[in-house]
Amino acid sequence: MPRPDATDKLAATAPAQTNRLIVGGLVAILTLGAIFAAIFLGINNNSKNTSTPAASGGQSAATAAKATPKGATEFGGPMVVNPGAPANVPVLDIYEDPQCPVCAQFEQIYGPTVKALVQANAAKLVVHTMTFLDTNLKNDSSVRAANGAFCAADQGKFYEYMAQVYANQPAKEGTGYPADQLTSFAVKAGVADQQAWASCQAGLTYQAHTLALETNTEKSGVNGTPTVKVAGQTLKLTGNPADITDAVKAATK
Amino acid sequence: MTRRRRLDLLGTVLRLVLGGVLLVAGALKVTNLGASALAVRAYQLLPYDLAGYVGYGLPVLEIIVGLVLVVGLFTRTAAVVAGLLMLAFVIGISWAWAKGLSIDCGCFGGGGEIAWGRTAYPLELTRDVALLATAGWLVRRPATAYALDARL
Repeated sequence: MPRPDATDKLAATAPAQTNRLIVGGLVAILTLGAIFAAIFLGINNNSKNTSTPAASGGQSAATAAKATPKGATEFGGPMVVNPGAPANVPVLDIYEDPQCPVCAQFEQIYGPTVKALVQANAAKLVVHTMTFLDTNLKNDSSVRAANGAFCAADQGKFYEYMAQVYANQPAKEGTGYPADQLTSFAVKAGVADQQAWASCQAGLTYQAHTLALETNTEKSGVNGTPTVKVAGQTLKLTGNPADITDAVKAATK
Repeated sequence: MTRRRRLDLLGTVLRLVLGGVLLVAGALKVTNLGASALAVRAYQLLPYDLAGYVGYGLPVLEIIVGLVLVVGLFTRTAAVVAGLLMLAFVIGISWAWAKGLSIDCGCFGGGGEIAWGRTAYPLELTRDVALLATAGWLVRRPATAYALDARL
């Protein structure tokens, strides 16, 4: 008995197989293409953020690119509020984003305690101003507020300026800080040369420094605010200012 | 209704659930790739640059796998990819929990650090394990009703 001819059967399945291959190949290529496009787009956005210093304000892009505010440890480094603290007291690192609501709460609860520690030089306060909420909230208020604080730092009023920022944070997260409000903070913080501050703020002189600081902080493993460290150890905040004073006392040599 | 038809219909439901969740999760994140990268970094699991690439690429992958599942194309392959994604999510969330991080999984946008006591690791893990099981079912039995697979 002859074997049944399979040619018809093969012909019936062959186009379907080919279709599957073509469609499958297309979907695969499209997927890979879209993923690479997204990665490219993301990297492009990120580097645009970190490499475009504001060249306006009379400064050349080259000098603005590495401009470092007074009191910062280095370009892209945190702000040392009381460099005169003696060597036996611990470093108190505070990580805050100007638009972070919990940071405003933190300042309300712990602010006076931190201020007292600074005034007594009982701890060396190092402030890492973060700005990632600009990305989350799709605005630029954190960078502008941070720049305002760094411009105030040039006149020794960084800490006072930041206090104004948190005390006047908008009730609704994402509202941001209008330019004239940032100017009023400079006045209330007691910045002496308002004209110098205004020109520094208009040119966003410390934008590159601010963005570099954000990247450095993220790379160091801090991804959230507020984060508080005493002598390098992250504190668990319970809402009691003694969290900080106890840790500082324990770490004082 | 035959047993086979019932299983096909069950497969359709599972396919729509898995695909729908992926589609929504991807769509909510794709509009803000920067935030997506931050959410991945908050796990402190991948190096800085790699975490960025994952953050940028993941929402797109989720959307495409979700779409393909919803219309029922290449159900088995798509379910394998979806299952691998869920496995990665389960590992990531477990890592964050074990490490004592206080983050939102960022599964549907958002993400990053949140207040202590606001974490939802058990819920997030339960959901992803359930979706992993769904993907497993579709890998074993990819035949479903109303799928474009049948027309190819």
